[in-house]
Amino acid sequence: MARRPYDMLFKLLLIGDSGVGKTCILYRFSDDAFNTTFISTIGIDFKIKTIELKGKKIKLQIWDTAGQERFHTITTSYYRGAMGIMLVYDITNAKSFDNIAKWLRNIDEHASEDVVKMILGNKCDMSDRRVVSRERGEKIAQDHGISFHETSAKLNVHVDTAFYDLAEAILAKMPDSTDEQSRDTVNPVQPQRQSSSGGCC
Amino acid sequence: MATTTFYTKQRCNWIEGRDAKVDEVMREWMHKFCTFQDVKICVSTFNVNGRSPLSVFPTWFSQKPEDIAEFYAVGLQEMDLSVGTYIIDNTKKMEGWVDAIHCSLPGGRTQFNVVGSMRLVGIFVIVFQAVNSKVRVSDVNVKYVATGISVLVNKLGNKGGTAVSMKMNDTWVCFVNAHFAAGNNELERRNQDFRDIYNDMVFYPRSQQEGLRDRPLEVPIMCLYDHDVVFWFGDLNYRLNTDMYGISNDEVRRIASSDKFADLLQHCQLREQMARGTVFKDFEEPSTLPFRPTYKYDCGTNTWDTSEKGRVPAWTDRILTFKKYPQVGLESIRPMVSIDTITISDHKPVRAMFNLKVKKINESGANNVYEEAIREADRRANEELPQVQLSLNEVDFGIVNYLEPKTRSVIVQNVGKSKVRFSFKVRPNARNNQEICEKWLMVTPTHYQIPQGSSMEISLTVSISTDIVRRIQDLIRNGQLQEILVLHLENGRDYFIPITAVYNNSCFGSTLEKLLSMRPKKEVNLIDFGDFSENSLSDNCPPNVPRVIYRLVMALRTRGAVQLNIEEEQDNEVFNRIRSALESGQPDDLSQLASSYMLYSALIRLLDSLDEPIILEGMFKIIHKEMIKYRTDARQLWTVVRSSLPKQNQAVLELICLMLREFFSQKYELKDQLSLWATVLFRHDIQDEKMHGMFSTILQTICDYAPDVALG
Repeated sequence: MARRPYDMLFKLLLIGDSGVGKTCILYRFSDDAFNTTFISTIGIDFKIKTIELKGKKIKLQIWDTAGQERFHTITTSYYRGAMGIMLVYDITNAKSFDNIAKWLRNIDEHASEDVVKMILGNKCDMSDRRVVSRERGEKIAQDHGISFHETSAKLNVHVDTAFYDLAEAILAKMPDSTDEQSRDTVNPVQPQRQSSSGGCC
Repeated sequence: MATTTFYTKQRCNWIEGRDAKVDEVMREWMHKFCTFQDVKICVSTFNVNGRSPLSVFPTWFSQKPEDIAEFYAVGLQEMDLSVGTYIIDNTKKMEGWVDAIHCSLPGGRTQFNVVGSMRLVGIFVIVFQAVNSKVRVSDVNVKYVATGISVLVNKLGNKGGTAVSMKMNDTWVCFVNAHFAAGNNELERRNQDFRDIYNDMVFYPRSQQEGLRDRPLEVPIMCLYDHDVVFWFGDLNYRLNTDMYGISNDEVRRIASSDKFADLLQHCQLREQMARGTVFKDFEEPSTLPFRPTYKYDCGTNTWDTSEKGRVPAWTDRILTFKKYPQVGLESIRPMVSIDTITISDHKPVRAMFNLKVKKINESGANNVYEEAIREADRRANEELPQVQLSLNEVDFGIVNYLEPKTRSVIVQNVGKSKVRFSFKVRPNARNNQEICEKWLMVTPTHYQIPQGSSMEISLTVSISTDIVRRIQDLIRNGQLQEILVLHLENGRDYFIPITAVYNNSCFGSTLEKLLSMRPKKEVNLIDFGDFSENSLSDNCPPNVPRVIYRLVMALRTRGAVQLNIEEEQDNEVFNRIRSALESGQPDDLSQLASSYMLYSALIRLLDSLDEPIILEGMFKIIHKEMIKYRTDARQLWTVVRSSLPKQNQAVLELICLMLREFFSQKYELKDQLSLWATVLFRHDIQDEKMHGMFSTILQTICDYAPDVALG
C-alpha cells in the first residue's frame, strides 16, 4: 500500500492489586460485557479497541496484568513502552487503596518518564461496602497530579470516560503534526518502540 | 493545546487503505451501502508497426448492438517509429490514430468522448466513454513509465508503459498499455520491464501535483494494486519456447496455421513465467487464447514473416486483468479475438470485452456502517488473538531429591482461531538473564507451533545435579525452590507458570559439619531398640567421620576390592535405595544392600556433592602449593594435612586413603582410579592436565603410607 495517513496506536496498561477488577474494566470497555466470576489473571493479556478522538481513529492496545504479589517483579517489566497506565483500586478494599503509593513507586521506577497516569477507584456500585471515600481517592490523585475516576465495571459507570480521558491526555502530549505522510504502518500486535517524546507509530 | 487542523473539525469517514481489517469488513458489508451497475468495457491492443492509420477500421470493433460497450480502452505500440519522435514531440501521427480509432468505434465519433489518454513516444493509450453513459468518471489521472535504453538520466521511451487511472462511480479502474523488450532471448528484460512499470506506475493526487496540500487525507496516492481493477494490455513480446523442445520454426508455423494452434500456448514464455510467479502475480488471462499467434506477419497479408529474420510466430499481444479482491465483479463476456482482417501491421490487433460491476457508495450509508465495521474489526482482531488453555496453572513438584529427576507435564491446548506459536521468554528481571529459568529446571520444548485445535505437551523436569546441590541453600526461597516461567504466545498474551519444589535436605549436598551432626531418623525405631544395640556397626565410627561416609566405606571394605567392577552400569533406583538407607540409618550395614560399584559411586557422589572438597585449598591455595612442593614425600604431605585441614577433613581423608590402600593391594588395576579420586578430593579443573597429574601423584603418595607410618 502506498504511504497513507495512518491512525495511531496507544499502548495502555492496567495495574493494581489482585481482585480490584482490572480485567472486568477491560472487558467492559472492549466487549461491553461483565462477568461476576473471578478468574485471577495469571500473566499478561491484551485487547484492542479503536476509538475516535478529535477526528482521529486511535487504536488502543490495552494490557491487563496479573495483580498477584508474587508476579510483581515480572509485571513491572511490562511497564516500559506503556503510554498510559491505569492504576486501579477497589473502594471496598482498604488494602488495595493503601497499596496505591507502592504501585506509584513501581511506575516511577519502571515506566517511561512521560507516561500518563490515572487512578481508578473501582466497584463504586457497592456503596454499602465502601471503605475508601471518594475524597480520599481524589486527594491521593491530586497529591500526585494524576486524574481520577470512580468506576463500576459492573454497572458501566465512567469506564468509557476513563479510557477516553487517558487517551486524550496522551494525544495532547504528542507533538502536533498535520503532516502524517511519513508515519509508518501501525501493527496492532507489535508493541511500538517507545520514543523519548512519548509519540507512537 | 493542539492547533486546529482540518481533521479536528470533522468526523472520521471511511477511507480505504487505512486499516486492512476494517476494509475487509467493509468489503463484506458492501451491499449495505453500495449499489452496483453493469458496465461493458472493451479493451484492445495493437502494435501498428509505425504505420499511418487508415481513416477508419470498420472491423476493429464489433458493431453489433449487443456488443457495444460503454467504455473503449485502446493501446497502441510503435505508433510512431520516426527517428525524430524520440527527440521532438510530434503529435501529428497521434492525432491521425486518435481520429481513426474514434471513427472506428460503433456509431462513430459522435457517440464517444475521450476520457483520457497518455503517450510515451510510440506507446499510446486512450480511453473513450459513450456519450449516453451514466457512469460518473472522476479523478482521471495519467502517467507513463519509460523502461527503454537510458540516455543520460532519462530513459528513451522506446519501451515502457502508459496508463490512465480513473474512478468509475466509486470503482477505481486503471488501463495500462505496455511495450516490453523484444527478442527471443530478452525474457529477463521483459520481466524487468513488467516489474519497473508495476512499481513505478504510481498516481499522485492532483492536489499534490499542484502543490495544494489541502486534502491530504481525502485523495490517496494510488498504486496499481490500489485500484479495484487493472486492465494491463500491450505488446508484451513474450515468445514461444518451442526451440527448447526442438520444434522448428517451420513446424511452429505449420501448427500455428492449423486448427491445433492452441497447442502452442503451452510453450508461451508468459504463461510459463506466470506459473512460476515471476510476473503478473494475481493477474488473470483466459485459459485458452482462441486465436492464432498475432505476430509476425508480412504487412498487408496474413502470411507468416518471410523476411530474412523469419520470426517464429508468437502471442506477443495480450490483455490481462487484475482484481483487488475476489468480490470485485469483473468478467470476460466475449471470447478474446484477434482481428485478422486488419493487415497494415506485422501484428494483429487483439480485442476483449468485459463486464464490470461498477459500485456507487452511498456515503452517509458507508459512514454509518463504518462505525459498526470498526467495532466488528476490533471484535475480530480480539477474537483472532492466539488463545491457549493450560492443563495446569502452576506446577508443584513436591519433594525432590538429589540426582532423582522428577518430571511433570503441562498440556498446552490451542483453543484459538489460528495456529499458535509459543516460546518461553527469558524472564525479565530474572537473576540469570540469559536463561528462561533456573538451572534446576528443564523445559522442553522451549518453543513450538501448535495447529488450531491441537495440543502439545510441555515437559518440565526438576533435576538436582551436583552443581546445583552444592549451592542449593542459595537457591531456596521460603523453604522452596521457586521459579516462574513466562509462556509467550506470538502476537498475543503471556502466561505465567509458577513452579515450586521442596528440596529434600539430604546427606547429599550438605557439609561435613552437618553430616557429623546427622543422626538416623529415630521415629521408625521407637519400639525396636534392637538396631541400636552395642554391636551396631556405625557405633565404631570415629568421632570426626560422619556416619554416612563411614558406613559406605565400611560396606565397601567388607565386600572387598575384588567385587568392585567399575564397568558396571549406574542404576538410579539402587542409588535411591542407598540414599534412603543412608538417611534413615536402616539398614545400618550397607554391605548387602547394593553392589560394590553402586556403593562406591554413592560414596564418590556424596563427597562430590559436599559444599567444599575434602582437601580445601586453604588461604591463597597454601595447602595445594605445599602439597605440590612435597608431592612425593609422604611424611611432609601428612604433616601438611594434619596442620592445615580441619579435624573432620583429616579424618575423612585418612579413612578414604585407608580404603584405597586396601583396594590397591587387593586389586592392582584399581590404581587407575587414583585420577578420579584426585578430582573428587581436590576438585580442581580437570582441563588443567599438569595440575591434575600433580594431584594424582600427591594422592598416590599419601595413600601409600598411612599417617602413623609416614609420621613415625
